[in-house]
Amino acid sequence: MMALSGDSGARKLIDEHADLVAEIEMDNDSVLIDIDTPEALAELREAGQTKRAAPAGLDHSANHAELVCERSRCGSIGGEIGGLELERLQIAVAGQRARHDDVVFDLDQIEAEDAARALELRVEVRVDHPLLARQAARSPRPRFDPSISSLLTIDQSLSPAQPAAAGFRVIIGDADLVDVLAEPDIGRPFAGLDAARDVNGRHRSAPISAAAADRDGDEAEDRLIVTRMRIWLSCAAAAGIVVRRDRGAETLPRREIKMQKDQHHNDAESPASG
Amino acid sequence: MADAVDDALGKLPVERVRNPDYADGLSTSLKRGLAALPADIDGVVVCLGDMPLIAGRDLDRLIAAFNPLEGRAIVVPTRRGKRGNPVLWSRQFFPR
Repeated sequence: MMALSGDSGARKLIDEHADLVAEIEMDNDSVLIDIDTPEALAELREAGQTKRAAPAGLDHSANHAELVCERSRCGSIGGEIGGLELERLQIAVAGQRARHDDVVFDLDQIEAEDAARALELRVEVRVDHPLLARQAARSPRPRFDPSISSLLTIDQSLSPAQPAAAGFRVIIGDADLVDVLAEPDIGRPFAGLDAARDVNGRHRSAPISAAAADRDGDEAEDRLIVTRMRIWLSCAAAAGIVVRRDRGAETLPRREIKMQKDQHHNDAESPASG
Repeated sequence: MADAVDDALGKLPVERVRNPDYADGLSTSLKRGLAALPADIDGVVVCLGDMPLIAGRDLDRLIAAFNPLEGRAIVVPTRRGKRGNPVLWSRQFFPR
């Protein structure tokens, strides 16, 4: 970087190191918007966009969440992760118990012309306290593995046009679990969805069933230990399932996890507050 | 201009580095900034001054993805697949 000159060059540096680049899809346009003139700034202020509201239903500071679908067609979302019971909250059905700031998905009424909006749909699981331990290969598989999978498997697809079995594919980010991603695995147009991946697709890694596998061939498992997790749905479309944020919910008890120092992952050192 | 920036920053507890060579391009500011960094940092987020909508939570997201040991040494934000700024760089790229 010290060798760069002029106003360009960083882009070239990025291209030269494509294998070290992680692209992170953002949930707003801020990373694309630059303001070059006083007029543009004035317009921006006028539009009140300098105070960005969090996307509906998303609140990074929320204690935790959320989502149990009460509709039989969606199956149950909930369960146990890392020995902690996720709080099960009811999901309201649009038009019935949806609150103003709830995020709503339309399961039944997605129409063809709404396909573009449907593309906005994303299920994202955020792990508040991701810890990653290196485990000997002989150690038992993480027991939350199937449960996290069931947690996120909405066994009826979000689009009525898609086969039920497609459901969601759960995708785990790389070792530091930037984001645990649940992605509709129901082909186009949903196939293009993801929340984070790097240019080589590495970040968008294996489904959760393979998450415990020895990905790097060193005979140790990447074991994921989750003390707490948060799930949210975001969608630009409207109507249908509601993911409810429960502001009054108490924080889930945090399980003490003892790890050897050499197993300690950097990311564990700064647990989120809340 | 630098004074105006200084004023705008007010009492924020940030270190300010002036670049008298600003007319020679953005890179000169970048170099000044990098040169002023302590030795023990892991990386930098290069924020551009003309992107007022970037919020802390956007930066948090980039930082969360950052992991040079896992091969994510440059974190580039995208929106609908289009690359944007700021970019988070691992320190391994500083000397180059």
